[in-house]
Amino acid sequence: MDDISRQVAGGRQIGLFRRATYWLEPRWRDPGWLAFAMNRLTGVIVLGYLVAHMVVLSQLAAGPSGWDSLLATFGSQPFLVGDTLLIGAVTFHALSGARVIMLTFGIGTRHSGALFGLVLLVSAGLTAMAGWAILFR
Amino acid sequence: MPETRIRLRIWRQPAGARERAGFETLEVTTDPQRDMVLDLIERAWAEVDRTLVFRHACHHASCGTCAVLVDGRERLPCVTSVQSVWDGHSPLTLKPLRNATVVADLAIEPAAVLAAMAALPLPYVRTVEREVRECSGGDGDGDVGTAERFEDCLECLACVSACTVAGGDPDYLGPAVLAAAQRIVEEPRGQDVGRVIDMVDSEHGVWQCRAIWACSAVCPSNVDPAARIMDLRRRLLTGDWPAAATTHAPAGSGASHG
Amino acid sequence: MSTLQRPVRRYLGRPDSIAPGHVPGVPGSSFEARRAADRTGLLWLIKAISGGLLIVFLGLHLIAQHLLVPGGLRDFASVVDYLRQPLALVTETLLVASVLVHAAIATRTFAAELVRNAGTLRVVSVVIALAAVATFGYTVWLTISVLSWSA
Repeated sequence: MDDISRQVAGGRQIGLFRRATYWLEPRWRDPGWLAFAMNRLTGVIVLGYLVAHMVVLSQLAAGPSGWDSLLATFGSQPFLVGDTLLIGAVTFHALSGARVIMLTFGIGTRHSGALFGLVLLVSAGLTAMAGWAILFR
Repeated sequence: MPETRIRLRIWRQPAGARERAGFETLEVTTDPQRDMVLDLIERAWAEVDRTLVFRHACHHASCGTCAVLVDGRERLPCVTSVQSVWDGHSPLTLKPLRNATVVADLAIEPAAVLAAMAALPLPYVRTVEREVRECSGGDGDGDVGTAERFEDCLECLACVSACTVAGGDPDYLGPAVLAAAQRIVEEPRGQDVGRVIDMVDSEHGVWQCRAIWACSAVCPSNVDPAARIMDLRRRLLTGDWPAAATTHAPAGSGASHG
Repeated sequence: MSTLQRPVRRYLGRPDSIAPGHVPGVPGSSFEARRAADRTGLLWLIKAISGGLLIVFLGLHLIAQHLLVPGGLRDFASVVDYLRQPLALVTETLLVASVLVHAAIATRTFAAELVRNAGTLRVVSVVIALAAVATFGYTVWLTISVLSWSA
């Protein structure tokens, strides 16, 4: 740990629980807080899905009998709704990440809150389209 | 506007006794159109409780000393009018800034962050962005050339208080220090830019920022720390440095921690 | 490399210890600013690039796996047919790689907020990297198993 950082800390200690949960403390006046918290939450959700997806894909190793019997389950309504929500999480996470990259390169720094609004709008729209395609087509 | 009574819900924390901290309500008289919030704090100290601890100095937003949380938002109470923050009946809540060690009541200990800014070090005088022209009676063409002024940053630490990340990482350099570093990169004024870059290109430096932008929202002096942190990141990624910065090793070359 | 040996001026000429309480590891005298630069910037860049690539590959994956197929789900035979196309195989492999790189760096960033000790963080980072490599290896093995499956 570098000395200047320790000096900034000034002896202030933050416990493990606080370090793990500080990002969940609401700051409704700052849209950027919501962007950060939602980016992190959707990242955790997608990571969890990734693990579950790997577990499901492992059934491929059992051949057609192992895999094809699962299709009926994954084609059922609850799973399709889950897929729609997952696409929502992925879409938001991607666009939110793109927002951070844009801000890093100086694009839209005067409108960081409005950019977040745009991210919400576009991801909601894309999720709605995907949901329609998944659930009703 | 006639004077009226206002209840101030103030955080009281005896020095060295965090366990006895809590809110206390003090009532004072105010003319919401005339008074600033700092006037109320001083009135509470003078007329109600002389043990109230708070900081104040210039009373006109040039020193940054008095910054506190007014109803959960970082403000300079010396220039925050009562009528702009008070609804006329609810208590006005005053707390010390976040993400800092509380000395007592509303006073925090700023020394650690201010020492970091001094360690950069941040020169306090900068050039003016626009030309200043002197208009005489004749052709009005007298150009006084480049003028100087003080840096925008008041070192009030409102940005550090507002920063969510600083609330979770005590070693985060924070928006104040990083914005000051960017000012040195932008306008070196004889400083060792490479050294400054080396200080901020780290896990607890610019890369810890999560683009929340709360710091810029609460800054009373148009520093825009968030944009400056992003500017440092952009420079680190693209290698866009002033000519003086020839001593910085490129990102990814790594180094052992100090 | 910049030289950071010279001591920095003290804040307002006040004595050394101006922060309340004990600050472990800080030299008792001048506020020397040591070089703190590390590889975090490079990690951020890789995370950003892998994230951008992810958008492309994930989009292709969703279209190929769910929109081009009647019913939206491929049965085993359809999966084998799909993976036998070289372009599809390469695309899916790149998708897995970019997902794992992005997820590993993001997880490490999260862990860095929890772990204060530099040595422990190094161990956690290695564990995360090994988990990502192992997952990639498992995916490759699974793909080979599927492609070599004979009824």
